[in-house]
Amino acid sequence: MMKAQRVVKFDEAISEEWLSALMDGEMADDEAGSALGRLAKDANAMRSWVEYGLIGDAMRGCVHDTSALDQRIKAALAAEPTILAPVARTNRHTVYWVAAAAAVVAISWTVLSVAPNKPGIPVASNGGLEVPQAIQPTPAQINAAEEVASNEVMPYLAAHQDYAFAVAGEPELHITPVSLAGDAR
Amino acid sequence: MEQIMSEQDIDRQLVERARQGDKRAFELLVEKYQRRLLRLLSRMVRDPDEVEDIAQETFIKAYRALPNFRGDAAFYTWLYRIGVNTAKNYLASRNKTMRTVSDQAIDDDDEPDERLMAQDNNTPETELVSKQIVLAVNEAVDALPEELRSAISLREMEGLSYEEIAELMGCPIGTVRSRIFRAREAIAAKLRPMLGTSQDKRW
Repeated sequence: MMKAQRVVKFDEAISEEWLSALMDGEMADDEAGSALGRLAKDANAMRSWVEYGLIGDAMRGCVHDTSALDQRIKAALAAEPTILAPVARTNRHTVYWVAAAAAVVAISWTVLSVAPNKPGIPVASNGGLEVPQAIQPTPAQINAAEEVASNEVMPYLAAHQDYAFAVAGEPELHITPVSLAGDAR
Repeated sequence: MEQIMSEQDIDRQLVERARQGDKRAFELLVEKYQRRLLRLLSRMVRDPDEVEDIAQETFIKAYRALPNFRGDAAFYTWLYRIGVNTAKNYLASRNKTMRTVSDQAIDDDDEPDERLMAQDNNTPETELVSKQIVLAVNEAVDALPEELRSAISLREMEGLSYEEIAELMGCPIGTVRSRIFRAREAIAAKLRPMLGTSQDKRW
């Protein structure tokens, strides 16, 4: 069955039929918002909302006198400061921000690694400590790093010199092939 | 192709409106879920007044926590979790155990039958009217034409979508929508005199 057939259109609905469909979650996305706005302002619709809810609960055997509680909650809500929270962002937006941040970090790391000794570029120091032998790269690792530098990093930097210039702050960008393994080259 | 907004989506929309300062939107959620919350809390706390206190505190806590509601879970799941935790804290503060009314009715020697009858936490007066409401709704449902009765029952009792009901009943979705609406209006018409005699009582 086509999904479009399921959609309840406002202009098709008679009288309060839209409210019944809204309560059941059977209204089109683009119309549910305006229907909710209408519900909040329409006393008759609000009464029907309460009645329809009561009918459903009664059919499921769930009925309580809520008149006193209803009034108490409304009074307590009225005394509460009105919430004005930021509009919720979808997860899709979050993913975009994370991806953008990751890209910036990756590009910055690449630029700093390629030109570690240029003036104005902060370079991590080991504070004069000897680098432990255990973390010295093996010849195979060095070769692999050089291959990555020549095959992947260089073309990338050649295509992004403007960005690299902005980060490095140099009038010219001198690209020097280096090993990702540092001085061990 | 257009999408429909599910019942949970409607709740999320109401939450979002409440988060933007529309308290009326939150009141709609209160209207929708207060009876179900009361029934849940009634299984944990015996005193009807205490149940209402906890229900009120639950809704206020939920309102204050709306900015933190991420929408990962359904609103009612989130609300029930707040309700259960509020009841647990309440019982702990009163040094009470998490015993159900049924447990107490079975364990206590005095008036066990009366305790069992009081399990739904209504007073005798409200218990009577509650039963009258349920009876009136059931009678109104029974009096409906078969196609309306089936449609409203499949929706309210079985929780089926309009699409599923249309497939079961072999009719267009628009017909299902119309039948459910007409059924509700017919039942509401039978209820209104009863609700009117109860003044401003809400059920």
